[in-house]
Amino acid sequence: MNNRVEDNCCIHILPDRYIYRVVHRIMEGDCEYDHGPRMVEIKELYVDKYPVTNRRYKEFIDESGYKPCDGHNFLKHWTDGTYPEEMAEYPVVWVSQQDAKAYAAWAGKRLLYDYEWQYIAGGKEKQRYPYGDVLDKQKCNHDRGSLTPVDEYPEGASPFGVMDLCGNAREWVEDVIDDGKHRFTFLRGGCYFQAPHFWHTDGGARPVDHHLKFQLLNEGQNRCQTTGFRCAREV
Amino acid sequence: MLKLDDSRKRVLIANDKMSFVIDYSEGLRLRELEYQPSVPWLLGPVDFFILQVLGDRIPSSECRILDVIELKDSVQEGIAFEMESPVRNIRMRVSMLSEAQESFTLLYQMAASWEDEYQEEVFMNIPLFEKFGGQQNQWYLSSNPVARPDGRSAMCLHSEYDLPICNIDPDRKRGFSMELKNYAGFIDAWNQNRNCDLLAITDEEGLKKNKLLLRLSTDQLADVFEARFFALENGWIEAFDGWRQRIREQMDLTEYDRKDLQWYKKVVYQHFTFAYSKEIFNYDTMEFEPERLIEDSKELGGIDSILLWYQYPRLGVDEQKQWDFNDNIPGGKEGMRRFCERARAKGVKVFLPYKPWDIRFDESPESIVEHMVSVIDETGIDGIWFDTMDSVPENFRERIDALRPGILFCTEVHPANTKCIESITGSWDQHMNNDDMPEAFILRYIFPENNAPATNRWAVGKSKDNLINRCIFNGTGIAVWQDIFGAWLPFSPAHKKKLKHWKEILMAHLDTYFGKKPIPLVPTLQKDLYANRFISDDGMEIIYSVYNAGCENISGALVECDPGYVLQGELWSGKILEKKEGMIVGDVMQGEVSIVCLKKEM
Repeated sequence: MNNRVEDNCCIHILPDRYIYRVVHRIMEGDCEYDHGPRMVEIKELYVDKYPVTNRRYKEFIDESGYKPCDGHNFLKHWTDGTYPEEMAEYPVVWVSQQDAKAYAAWAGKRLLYDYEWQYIAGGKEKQRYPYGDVLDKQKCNHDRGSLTPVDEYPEGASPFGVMDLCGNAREWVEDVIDDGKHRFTFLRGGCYFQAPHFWHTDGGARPVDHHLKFQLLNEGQNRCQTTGFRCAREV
Repeated sequence: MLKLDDSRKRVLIANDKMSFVIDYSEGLRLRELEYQPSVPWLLGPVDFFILQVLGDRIPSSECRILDVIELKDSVQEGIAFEMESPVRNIRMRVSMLSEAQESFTLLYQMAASWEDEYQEEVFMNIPLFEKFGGQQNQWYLSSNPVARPDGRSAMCLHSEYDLPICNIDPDRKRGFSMELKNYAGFIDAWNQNRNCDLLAITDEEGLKKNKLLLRLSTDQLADVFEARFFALENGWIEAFDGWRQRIREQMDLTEYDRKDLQWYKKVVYQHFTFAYSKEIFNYDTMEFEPERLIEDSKELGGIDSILLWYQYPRLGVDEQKQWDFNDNIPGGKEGMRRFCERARAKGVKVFLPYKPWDIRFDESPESIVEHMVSVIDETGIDGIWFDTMDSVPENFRERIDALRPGILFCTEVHPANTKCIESITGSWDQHMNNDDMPEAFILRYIFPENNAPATNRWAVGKSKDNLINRCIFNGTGIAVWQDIFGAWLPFSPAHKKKLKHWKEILMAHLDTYFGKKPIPLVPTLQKDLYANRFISDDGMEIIYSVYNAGCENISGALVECDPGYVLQGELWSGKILEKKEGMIVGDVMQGEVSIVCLKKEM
């Protein structure tokens, strides 16, 4: 098969420091996390240009034999152990943070930390969206109602040239916060889906400096139809 | 009894408890109102109304009497005065009818013929209300029956139930109540009947200076004011009790008698259980641990139910619906069934929520109820908690009853209306960011069988104390909510100790607290002292829950001791109380509650 999205295509990120400040819609429930402003260090990284696709994830499973302990909802959109052919270059979803980390370990990488993701998405320019400061539905999958291939929006690249950061599939980050009573992480970038009601979580493409608190439970509940990941490797 | 004295132009209309003398010698005036034999309260004359139209002042005493009509049938008797204004072409009818239950209805109707069909503003004042209050008479306004020290109402009201306006003598016994039916569908509509304006008044001055804007649009007489008067011999207690009875007798409350739902009466401490919390979830085993939660809760008196919450704020992250999550949680629906069995083995019931707002285009009331039926069937839960809801679609109850009996419905907020109260037997008395004390919630006293634990999710520190005091003051359980969707706001050891003590008292006196005739905000014998009264249905026990809302400790007479009862003791702190000259005497610390228990004298 001809692979449209180049495997292991990484973007080289040089060390840097920046003022990290993140916000999010305030629903009920605190987000026990230092939202800044604070100085953070970006290490030298190679960051995946694209989110991990269904095709790459299958390669991981085939090679590693990975099988999660709790398989509920794992790759729910696949049948008979494989993805629909037309979704080969779509971001892999229905994977938990643990499933994502398993892939990253296999690939000799890790997930991005929340503050790294923000830097890589907004660039040194600290753009509000990867491609600029104003929401542009022509440059991301903001509300198309379903996933699109990871290379669907070349004009949506971040200043570093990283693709598909905003909209389409949300992305897991490496962080796991334990505030003593809960464990949670963050989802980044927003997604193609926008639930209708005020009480629903925000959807659509989200600004670079927004994260979504995601409270972890068992793996069946942690896996989402809208959430995938990308990896990075420290130099 | 109706006596028409045409020579003196007077009408006496009376029953055993009240009498009115109406004078129509000069227009129409109320001359006397008595609510106890031979002791007049009002010695008039006073105008029935004063209208103001475009600078013209039109008192009823200056209106022309066109006709005086005696009304009588096998049930009622009364009198009607047909009148017209000296200017402005306004027609009026004032009627007074004696009713069953020894009451009188006073009705004003008016119509206007406008010269050029363009209506003008007509303002009506009812001067009778200027006679209310004064001389230490006790006031009970519908929207502020008993005021807090800062003047705001100590009664949390409900739009469906308008309290009577009462005027009671200094002896706190004799007087009358005036029930004003509010037919307005919603308050902002400009209905012709302006009872709604009078019901909304929150201060004495407002009632005395009442000024009602009438919409007189046609020459057909329209009701503009209607009040039903009842004489009182036992003050506020009688007024509230009679009013409540008249509400309840028009309702079908048999749902509360269902044997399969009786279990809920003892579910007084309910627990809001945020699933994503170590309060219930073990992140090492990835399992829920109901036994641990139940054991931990013994510190605060134990819990009687768990509302397991795993949908919000997770919903919306993706396209999964609330129903999908039932399969996602540990063990899926079968895991939930085991959860219920484990909780029930410890005597604790389990609720799951339903969220009406999580609905997509492919769902309908029918599909939703079928989802619900499936969840109940497969998980074995004991009840459904209707998130954000004050009512439940009609087909739900019938369909779920067909599945199996005993499934309780509980709404997150107070039932919206009479029909909801008839069909939904549980609700939460929720106060968000409101820790006002003293406050009595009116539904608690009209429908004590609607078990509604109090809760205030965001309360911390003193607010949590106030929440507990609210429970004690109103004789309710509590919805223990410590994990607010990820914000951990626990009760302190002192709070837990207090809750445990309150539960012991509540359970020991459950029949008294949940008797059919509790009375909110009964008169007390001290300024800034507030009390609710609870009586067991067999009359053997009366409890006064007392709260000191003042800035100082109170020492002295607290409440009257009901005749025929002896002092049993103080239940909250065991303080020494005394019965002296028919009064209960003791101390109540500032900001604290006291529970006075009386027993019937044998």
